[in-house]
Amino acid sequence: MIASLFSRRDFLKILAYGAALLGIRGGVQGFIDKVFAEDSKRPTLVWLSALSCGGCTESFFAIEEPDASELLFNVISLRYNRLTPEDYSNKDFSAISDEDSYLLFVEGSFPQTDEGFCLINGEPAEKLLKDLLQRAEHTVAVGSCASFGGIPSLGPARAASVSDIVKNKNVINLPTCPVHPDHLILIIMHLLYFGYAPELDDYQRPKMFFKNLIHDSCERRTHFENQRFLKDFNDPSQSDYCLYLVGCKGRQTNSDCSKRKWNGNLSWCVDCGAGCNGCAEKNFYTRFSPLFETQDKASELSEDVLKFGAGAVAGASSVWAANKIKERLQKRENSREV
Amino acid sequence: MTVRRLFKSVSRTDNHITLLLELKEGTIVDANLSLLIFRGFEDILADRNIYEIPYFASRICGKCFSSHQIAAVRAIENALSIEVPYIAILARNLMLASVFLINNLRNFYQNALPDFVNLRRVLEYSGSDEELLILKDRVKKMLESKDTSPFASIEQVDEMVIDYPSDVIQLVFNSKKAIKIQNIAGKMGTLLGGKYPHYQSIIVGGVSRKPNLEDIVKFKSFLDEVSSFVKEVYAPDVISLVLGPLLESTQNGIGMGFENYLCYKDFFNPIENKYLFPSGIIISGKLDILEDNFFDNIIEDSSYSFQKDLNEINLKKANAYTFCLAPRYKGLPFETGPLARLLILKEKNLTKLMNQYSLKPGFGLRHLARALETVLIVDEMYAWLEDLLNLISKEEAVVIRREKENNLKELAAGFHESPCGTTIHTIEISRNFIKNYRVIGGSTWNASPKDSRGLRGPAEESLIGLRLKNEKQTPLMVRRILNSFDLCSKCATH
Ligand code: SF4
Ligand code: SF4
Repeated sequence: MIASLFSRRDFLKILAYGAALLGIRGGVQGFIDKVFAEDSKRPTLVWLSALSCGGCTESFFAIEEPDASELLFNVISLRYNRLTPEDYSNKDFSAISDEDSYLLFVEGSFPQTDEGFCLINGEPAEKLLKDLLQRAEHTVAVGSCASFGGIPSLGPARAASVSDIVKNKNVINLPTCPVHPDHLILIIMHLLYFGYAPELDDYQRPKMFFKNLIHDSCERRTHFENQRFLKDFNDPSQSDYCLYLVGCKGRQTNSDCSKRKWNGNLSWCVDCGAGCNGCAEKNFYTRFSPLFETQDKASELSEDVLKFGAGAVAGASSVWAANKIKERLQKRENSREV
Repeated sequence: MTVRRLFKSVSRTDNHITLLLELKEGTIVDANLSLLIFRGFEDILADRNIYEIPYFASRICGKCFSSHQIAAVRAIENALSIEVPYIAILARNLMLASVFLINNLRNFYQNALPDFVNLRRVLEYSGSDEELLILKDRVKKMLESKDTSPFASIEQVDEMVIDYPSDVIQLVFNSKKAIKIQNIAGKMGTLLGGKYPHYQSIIVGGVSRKPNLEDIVKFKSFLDEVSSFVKEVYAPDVISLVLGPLLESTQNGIGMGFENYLCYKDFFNPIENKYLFPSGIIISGKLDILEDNFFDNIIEDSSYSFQKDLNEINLKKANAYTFCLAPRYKGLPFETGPLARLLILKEKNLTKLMNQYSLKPGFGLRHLARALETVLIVDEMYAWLEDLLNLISKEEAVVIRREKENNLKELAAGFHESPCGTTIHTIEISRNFIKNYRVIGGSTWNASPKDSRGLRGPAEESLIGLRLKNEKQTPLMVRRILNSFDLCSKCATH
């Protein structure tokens, strides 16, 4: 049975990568023996998509170790995702109660002002979440929206995150916008193999991904230390300088993007010259704004250097903007309390 | 006697869509398409600094994020009267096109195909191809455990279903391969965009880094792989489906809707000074010019939408059934997307096939147009890549910034022909900040509800007159037609 599940050599190799990373005893074979010992049924992964852009679903398809096509056909059964079509017209979500157990992955946040802002197959999203939670072995909030409310929390729905709703410390948050494909597959493997959640930080993010600052292992760190900052995108001599003065939030953001990069190690936010937006943090879409200006004053830098960052791109009106956004947030908070 | 039926799951592309049908003796006489998700981006983007808008606009849709990034960036560049450097134009084209490849393959293989395939026939495959035999074994286990994810097994088998075992297994195999190819196309985007999804490098005025030789070489090797799949597998699969089991219904124009189409010029090649897709409209089958300022004359009708007016929502509004607004130009609904683009372009392969086989617009032709469009784009990508390669040794500028903030236009629009239709972002700015933001997403056109004159949206209209064989089950034909539009509730309602 197992042989036919994992008959492709490259697939085994790929699983080995994850097994090594997670320190699974016995490597791939250890993983297979443990996870697939029972029968040929694939572990079920239920995917609930609420108020979001659906980008985290795209991240699922961008998983490459093991590549998404092998993962979806051979390892797990992804259910109720818009990309794995099944006909739930007659049996809707309640059919999932036939399943013995499943991992619940939630993408998006949940409307708090009126459930009508997000219906999934005609059902209120929050009701489905609560139903599905009851039998879920583990719940993972994928992406910034599910983890922290995200951009929809600023809109009329005033959406709330998964842990806001379930107030349950067991939810694993995997922020970044969208979720990092590597984080997704590694958490899947971890939960399937060990059966318990990895150690989490104060924001319920796995420490194994979010322990360190982007800045700490950034490839441009030496330039930062030597105060070589990019000020002109068109000047080739500056093109690999530190992006701090054009608004990089790597000093305020905990994630491992600078180490693992994105999509098969090809590039990442600093490598492409734009800098980190801080999408792994709760502050991403609110207090990090405006994204192209320097916000945290590095004490080791002189006022003269810092001056550039304040108005580098957007002009000196950022204070006005920051206040506007703050006002807006305050308005939202107030109306939520009522 | 007329009966009403509500279907809560009609689209494989999106699970926020429901459909209320009115049937008279089994024939659809009316349809209300409901998109039941709303985040309120127009409100969220207000008061923000224009330079960060593209990053947040990107989050309107995770599937075609680049459409909203580019429409936002173009609106802002128009307001600032910035002309983007050639390098940036080409790099952006390549990033946008990568998203097209993913989206179009996804629509066919993951969303549409399962409704044309009798999955059980895989078990009867008697060939000796090793890879197919492994797949056969896999599908057998899936069927035994009554869980066929990620493929679907349909409940009815009709004359449009592919039934021959070796064809079926090959298609399922291709569907699996298509996931891998989408993965590769995502990497192409990452090479220039920093990450996929939600590119990081598209900034106001251009791109944040000049692509280097290594990027281009890697990009090309990925493109080679994708291109051969598109030309040798995807396009042939679609053509043989449409000219095979779907021939009759495509000749009869099933799922046609209004014959109104709209396309706004996009994918500019600055070296050849030419757009891949030209502007144009077709009204009741007749081609006409589309003015550059046509967006001044678009009216977003809110008669049947929970959106009352700009940013105002009323979920209890009488008669309202969707969050989508109804954009109308010259008072008419328009279909946008691949079929519109190729008809307006008078694309030669589509025209040839239409003439040769007497094909009419409808769900079959929509799939055909999407496949042929993908081929066009792949070919064009090679040209852009070559031009980019020539440019990077000669030029340095990747971004144009304005030194001063005077001479801002207060009102401006940005366009993009995104995979699902024509995306338009309109902005009103003051002192580098957004006062008002308006989005018409690609799918807003096709998924739009009825307007004050009672004219249905294109997707709704395409269902009228359809006879259903079994009214209680998910109407397979309805789903087939809706999937051919590649509807996206996130783009449509934002
Ligand atoms: S680019 Fe950003 S993360 Fe890297 S060293 Fe500079 S400030 Fe730190
Ligand atoms: S580098 Fe920063 S902006 Fe980019 S994905 Fe990581 S946390 Fe998000």
